[in-house]
Amino acid sequence: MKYIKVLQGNTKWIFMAVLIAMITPSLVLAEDVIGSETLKRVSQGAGIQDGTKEEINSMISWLKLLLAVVAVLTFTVIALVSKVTNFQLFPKWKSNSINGALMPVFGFLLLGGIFYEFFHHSGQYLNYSASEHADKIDPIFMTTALMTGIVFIITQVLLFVFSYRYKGETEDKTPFWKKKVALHYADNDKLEKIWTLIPAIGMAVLVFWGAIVWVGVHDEAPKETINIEVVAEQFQWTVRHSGKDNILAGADYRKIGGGNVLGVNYKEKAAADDIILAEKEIHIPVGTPINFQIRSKDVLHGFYTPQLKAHIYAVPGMPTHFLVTPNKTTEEMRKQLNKPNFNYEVACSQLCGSAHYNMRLIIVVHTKEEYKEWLEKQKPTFTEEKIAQLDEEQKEKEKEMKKDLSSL
Amino acid sequence: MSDTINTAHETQAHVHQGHGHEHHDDHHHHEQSFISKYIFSTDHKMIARQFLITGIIMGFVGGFLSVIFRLQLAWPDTPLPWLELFIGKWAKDGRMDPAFYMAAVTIHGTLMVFFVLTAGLSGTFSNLLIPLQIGARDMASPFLNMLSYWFFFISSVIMFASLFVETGPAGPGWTIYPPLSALPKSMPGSGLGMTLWLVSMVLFVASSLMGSLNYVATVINMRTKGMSMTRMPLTVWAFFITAILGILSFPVLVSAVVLLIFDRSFGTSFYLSEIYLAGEALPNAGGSPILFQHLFWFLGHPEVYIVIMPAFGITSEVISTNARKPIFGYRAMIGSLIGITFLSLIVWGHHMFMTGMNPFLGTAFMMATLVIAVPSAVKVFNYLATIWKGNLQYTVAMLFGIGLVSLFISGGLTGLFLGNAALDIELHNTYFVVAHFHVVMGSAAIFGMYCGVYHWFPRMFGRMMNKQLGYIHFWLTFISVYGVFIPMHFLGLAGVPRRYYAFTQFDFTSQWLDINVLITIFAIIGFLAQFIFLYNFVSSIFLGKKAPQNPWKSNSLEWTAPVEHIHGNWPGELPTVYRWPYDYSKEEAEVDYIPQHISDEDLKAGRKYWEEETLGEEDLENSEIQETVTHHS
Repeated sequence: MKYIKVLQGNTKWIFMAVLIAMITPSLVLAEDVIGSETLKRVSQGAGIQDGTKEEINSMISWLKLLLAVVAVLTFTVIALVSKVTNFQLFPKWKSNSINGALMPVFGFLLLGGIFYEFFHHSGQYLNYSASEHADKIDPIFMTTALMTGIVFIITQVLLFVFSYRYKGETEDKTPFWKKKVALHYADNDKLEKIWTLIPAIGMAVLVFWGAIVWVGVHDEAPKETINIEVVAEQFQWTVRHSGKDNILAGADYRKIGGGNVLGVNYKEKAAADDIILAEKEIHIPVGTPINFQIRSKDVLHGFYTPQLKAHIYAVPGMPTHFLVTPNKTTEEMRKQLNKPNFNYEVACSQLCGSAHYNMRLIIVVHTKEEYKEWLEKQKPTFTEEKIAQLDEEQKEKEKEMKKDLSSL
Repeated sequence: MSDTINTAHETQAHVHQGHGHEHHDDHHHHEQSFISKYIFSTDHKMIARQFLITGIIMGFVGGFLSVIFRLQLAWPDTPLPWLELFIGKWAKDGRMDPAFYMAAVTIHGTLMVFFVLTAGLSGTFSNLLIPLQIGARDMASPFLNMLSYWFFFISSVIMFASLFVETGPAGPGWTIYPPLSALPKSMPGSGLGMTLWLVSMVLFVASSLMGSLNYVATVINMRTKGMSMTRMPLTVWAFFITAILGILSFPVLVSAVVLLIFDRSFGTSFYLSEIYLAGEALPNAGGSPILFQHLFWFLGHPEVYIVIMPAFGITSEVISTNARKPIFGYRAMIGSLIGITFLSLIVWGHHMFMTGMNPFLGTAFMMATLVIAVPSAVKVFNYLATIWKGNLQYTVAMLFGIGLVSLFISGGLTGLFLGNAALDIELHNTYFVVAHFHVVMGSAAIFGMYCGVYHWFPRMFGRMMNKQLGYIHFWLTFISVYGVFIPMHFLGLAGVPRRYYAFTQFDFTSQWLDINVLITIFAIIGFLAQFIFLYNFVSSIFLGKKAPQNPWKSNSLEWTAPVEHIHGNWPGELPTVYRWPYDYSKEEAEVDYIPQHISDEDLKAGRKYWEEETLGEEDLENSEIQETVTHHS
C-alpha cells in the first residue's frame, strides 16, 4: 500500500507519461501499417509478392508489439485512474458540465462525420440507375433519405442540445435534489397526438408509394422477354440461355450428373437450341426485358446484381424469377462512371457455405446489334452427339441402380 | 437440494401471509449453506446476479469473436501468425479458414442476441426489479426461477462447448437457414456444432419460458398494497410486456428447431426438396426452406423487441430519475410498448422480401413494418420531452440512457429503408442491414444494459461503481459504436453483401478495403474499452464504496429495501404505495423527489424521507476512499 500512496502524489505526471507512452507506438503503427505501400497494393487486389513478405512480417511484429503494449498500458491506466488514486478525469463538481459539454461536441462530430463520408465516397455508391425499375425505385430512395435525414438531424440536434442546455449545475455545494429547478411536466395529450400523427402520415406516404413500385417490379412478364436461366450451386453460377425459340426446356434435379450439369430434359423440343454457357458471363441486350429464372441445386443462394438492382433468392425446390430491363450498356456505364473496368456483377447474397464470398458472375449488357452477333456465334449445347452421350450415361446409371437393387 | 426447496416454500409462505406480518426480523439469522445461497439459490436478487455475470462472460466471448473476424475483414491477404495462438488449426500460418469465419459470425450473433441481450439483459433486470419495484417478497415461483437460470446455464455451457468441436461450431449464420443447416455435407459448420447449437437453443427457450411465465404471474398477482397497474414503473411494464411477447413467440422457434432436427436426423423433408449435393441427388421432396424462415422469423422479429423493450424500460426509469422530471407521456409510453408488441407479431415477413415469397404478402408485411415506426417515434419524442427543462444529473447510467436514445434514432430511421420492400431490393442482406440492426437493437440494447448495470449496481451488490472509469467507458464505447457502424451503412449503399469472408473478389466490394481497416480499428478500441468496464465491475463488487440507501434519489420502491440483501426483501411489513413513481420536482415537497411509499399525509406532516448531507459530498467521498484503502491494506 505504501507505493500506492507515493503514486497518489504524482498521478498527474504518471498519467501523462503513460498517455504519451500509449500514443507514440499507436502513431508508429498508424504510419507503418495504414500508410504502408504493401497494404495499398494488397487492397488493390495485387496480392503478395515474394519481395514484400519481409515487410509484412515486420508489420506483423509491430502489430504484436503494439497489441502487447496497448494491453499492458490500458490496464496501467485503469489502475491509475481507478479509485486508489485521487486523479479524476471528470472531477466530481464538474462531471455534469464536462459530460454535458461533450454531448454537443460529439453530436457535431457525428453529423459532420456522416456528411463528410457521404460526399467523400459518393463515387462508390449505387447512386445511378441502370435498369428501368431502378428508375422507379430511386425517387423513393431519395425521398426516404430526405425525410429520415431531416428527422435525424432535428432529433439528434435536439437530443444533444438539450443534454447540454439542461445539464444540472453542480458548482455550488447544495445537493441537486434540494434545488427543484426541473419543470414538473408529465403529460400533454395534444403534443402526443401531433407527434403520433406526423410520423403516421409520413409512413402512409412511403407505404403506398413503396407498394405501388413493389407491385410494379413484380408485374407479369411481358411477352417479349428473353428467358435466361441462372442455376446456383456451391460455389458457382451456371447460365442457360433459351436460344432462338426463347423457351427453356424443363429440368429435373434427378437428371443432374455427368454431362448434364443442370439436369435438363434434353429430349424436349425446346432443349434443342438451349445454350449452356461455358464462361461465367451472361450476355443480354440493352432495352429488352430479361426474365432471369433462378434455380438452386443445393442450398439457398441469392442472385444479386447491385448495379442493376435485381435481387431474388435461389431456392432449391422452388424456381424464382426476376424481371430486369437494363437501359445502359456496359460500355455506356464505363463512360458514365469513368471506370474503364466497370462490369455488372452478380454476387451471392445469401450465406451458402465457406466460399459464399466468391461466387462471381458478370453480366455483359450489349447494344441490340452486338447481342444479335453474339447470339449467332453461340452453338446449342444439346447436339445429337451430346444427346447420344447423355443417353449412354443414363443407361449406365440405370444399370448401376439395378445392380444396387439386386445386391440388396 | 432439499434446502433450496425449503427456502422456496418459506418465501412463498411469506408472500401468502402478505401485509402486517411481523416475525420477519429473525428471518435472516437463519444461516444458508454456500450452495443454497450462491449456487442453487431461489432468491431473485441472487438469480439476477447469476444471469448478469453469465451474460457478461458470454458477451466477452461474443465480442472477442467479432474482433477476430474484423481482423480478417480488415487484412484479408495478410497472414496474422498470432491468430494461431487463439484459434489453432482454424488459422494455419495466420490465415483464417473461411469455415471458421462463418462459425465466428454465427456464434457471435447467437451469443449476443440470445445469451447476452435476452437472458443477460431481460433475465437480470426482470429478476432483480420486478419483485423489488412492485413490492413483492420474491417471484411467484422462486423454484421455477432457479430452474430458469440453470436451464440457461446448461444451454450456455453447451453453446460454449460447441466452440471446441473438431468440425467447428455451427456455421450457417445465427438464422440457421436450411438446407445449409440441415445437411452436414454442405459445410463443416453443419455437423456436430450445429447439433449442439440446436440442443442449446431448445434448453434456452425452456429457460426463457420459465422466466417469462414467472414474470407475468408475479406482476399480475403480487403487487403490494396501492401498487395499481398504472402506478408501476415503466421498467416493470416493459418487463411484463416483453415476457408476454416471449411466451407468444419463443415456442415457435422450438417448433422450427424440432422440425429441423427431424430433417437432420430422421430423414424427414420439412425444409428439403429437390437437392443435388456432393454428386448425389437427395431423396427429399416436397419440403420448403421458406417454411423454416416463416417459423424462424415469427420468433426472430419479436426477438428484437424482446431485446430492446427492457432496454427502453430501464432507460425510461433512469432518464426520468436523472433528469429530475417525470417521464413525459407515461400512458403513451405504455401504449407504444403495447402497440410495438402487437405489431411485432405481424411483421416477420419483411426479412423475406427477396425469398421469392408472393409479392402480395410483401406488401402486407411492408405496411405493418412501417406502421411500427409510429410507436417507436412516439417513444423518442417522449424521451426528448423528458430531458427538456430537466436538471440533468450525469451519472454514468444517464449517459448510457442518452446514448441509447441517440442510437435508437439512428438505427430506427434506417429501418424505414429496409422495411420498404421496393428499397429492400438493393439493400437486402447487405452491410446496410448489418449496420441497421447493430445500431438499433445491438448497440442500443447493450447501452440499455449498461445503463441498468450502472444504475442498479448499488442495489445488486451494495456498493458503488467507480464513476471515473464509467465515464471513460461510456465515451470510448459511444465513439467506437458509431465509428464501427456508421461506415457500414455506406458499404451497404454500395451493395456490399454481408457474411463475406473477404471483399477481394468483386470490383464493387474491393473498393471498400480501406474503410474496413477503419472499422476494425474502432472495433478493437470498443472491445478494449469493455475491459475498463470489466475491471470496474469486478473490483467494485469487492472494493467499491459502500452504497447509500438511495444513491440517485429515486422514487421507486427498490430503494426503500435495505442495502444488505435479505430474503424477502423488506424486514417487517411490505411498503404501501401512495403515488406513481415519477413525482419529481413537485411543488408540494421540500426536496425534488417524492418516493412512492410517501403519502400526502406524510408530506403535510413534513416527514423526512431523505438523509441530510452535512459534509460536502467530495469530502465524504475522499474520506471513504481513504477508509477503503486502509481497510484493504
